[in-house]
Amino acid sequence: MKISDLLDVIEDDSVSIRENEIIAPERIKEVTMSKIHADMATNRTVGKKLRKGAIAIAAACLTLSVTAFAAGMMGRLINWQGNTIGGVQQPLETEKPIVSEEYAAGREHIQSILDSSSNDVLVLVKYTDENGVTDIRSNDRTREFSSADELSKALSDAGSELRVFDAPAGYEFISAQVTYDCAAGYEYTLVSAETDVNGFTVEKYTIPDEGNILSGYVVEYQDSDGNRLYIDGRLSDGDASFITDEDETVKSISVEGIDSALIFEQRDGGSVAAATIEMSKALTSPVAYVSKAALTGAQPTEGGDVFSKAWYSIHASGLDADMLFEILAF
Amino acid sequence: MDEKHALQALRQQNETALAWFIERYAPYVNTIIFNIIGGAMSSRDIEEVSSDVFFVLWKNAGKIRPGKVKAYLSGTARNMAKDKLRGIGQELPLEEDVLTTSGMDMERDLEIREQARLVKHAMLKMEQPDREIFLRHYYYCQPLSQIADEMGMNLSTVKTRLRRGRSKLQNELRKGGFFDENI
Repeated sequence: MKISDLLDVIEDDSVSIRENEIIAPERIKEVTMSKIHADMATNRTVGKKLRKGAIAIAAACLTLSVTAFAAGMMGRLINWQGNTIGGVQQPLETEKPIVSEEYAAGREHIQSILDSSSNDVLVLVKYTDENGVTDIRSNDRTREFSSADELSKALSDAGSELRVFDAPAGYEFISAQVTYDCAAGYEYTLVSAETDVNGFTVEKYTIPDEGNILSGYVVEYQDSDGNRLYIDGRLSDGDASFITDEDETVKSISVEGIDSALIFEQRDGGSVAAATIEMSKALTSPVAYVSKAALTGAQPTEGGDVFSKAWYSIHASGLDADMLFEILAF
Repeated sequence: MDEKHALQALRQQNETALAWFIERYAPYVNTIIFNIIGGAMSSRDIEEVSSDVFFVLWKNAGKIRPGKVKAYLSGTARNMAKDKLRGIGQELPLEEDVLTTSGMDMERDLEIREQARLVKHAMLKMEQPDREIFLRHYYYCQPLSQIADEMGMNLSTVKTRLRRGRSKLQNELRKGGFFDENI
């Protein structure tokens, strides 16, 4: 045992160390934001559905999420090869988030505006609270389908490199949708901007049909026991790391036609709670796009934003890792 | 924006708030990471770990108490950098860092919370500047020569006080039933 390891349990800020400008904060900001946007892209479709499906635990293995960690745990940061590349110290003490009533109500109102908005247009809602903090949120432009075949056809018609995976035997189709982004060379055009009496500004943007990129899909299935299976495919522009905790196992697997694949198994008190397969494949033809972040005043990415990978997440409740791998019959 | 409001906004996933924390704490976080992996890795690795630290801050904002962000960042930066170093099979070059336990496997038997309690208690019992020197070396991973420079002491004084800190920790561990003879 090392003394330096014993101090892992400490979180200290009592010492004023001499700080050096080793890397410009601007650069750290840029790299961090890129990870956050990649994370948001991951969660924007599947994450929402998983939470509604009462299996939020899966979000922890979908991407860098810590919701399933107990206080004081040390999580492992895993790369696409399944190697541990770092640890994540969770706080020893936790508390409920302190959110003012005004802020909570504001956030709820923003969400209600987005929920009631048309999925054909990009809706951006801005609100600045009494402390001068601005919150900006937007919806996804989506289209729903009533069968997996319709989804496949839409992907094919769009010339998408995103691959569709067959539903396993015993699972029935529940829902499917695709998400659109804006291709480089086109732009979001502001068609209306209204500010209500409470200070919420709602901006609506459109882009020409030919500027649409089909950038992701999610399809949901269910077996006769009510266990859900989600398949999420999306274009991605960055690398990802995953966090696992002590109740979760992860191993690297080989899937034909895929560059990297990991399979996670989550246990809850010894019982299998869920399994997730994460897969990544480089696109043959990277796709340049216009990030929605530009509409919020964020700095544009140097060299432009480009989707360079296809990223797939297949999540199933009630299955262990081997069963999930087996039923998918890659 | 002050830290309280910035943390509140960060909990709402406000990117302006995250930028505020990065501008304020990136040099601090980068220095800690540099102390740990700077001798073995490139600035690109430091950048990678540092951005991971702030990404985790973004994800964990709801669990961090107001006024504790800096401490949280230091602990996260330190642990992520240490793990990165372990990933390439290297160890921290710290003075007399190894603690040999006798008669029991500390890592297996010592509960995390008990370990935390003992270490925190030992820290509290250290007098200044011994505590600061101990933390600078074993927590912030500063070389002894740098500690001497930053604290305006000569090297031998730093070594003596560091040894005193180790004794305090040893005493606390002994009282807790985890004794060793080599620190």
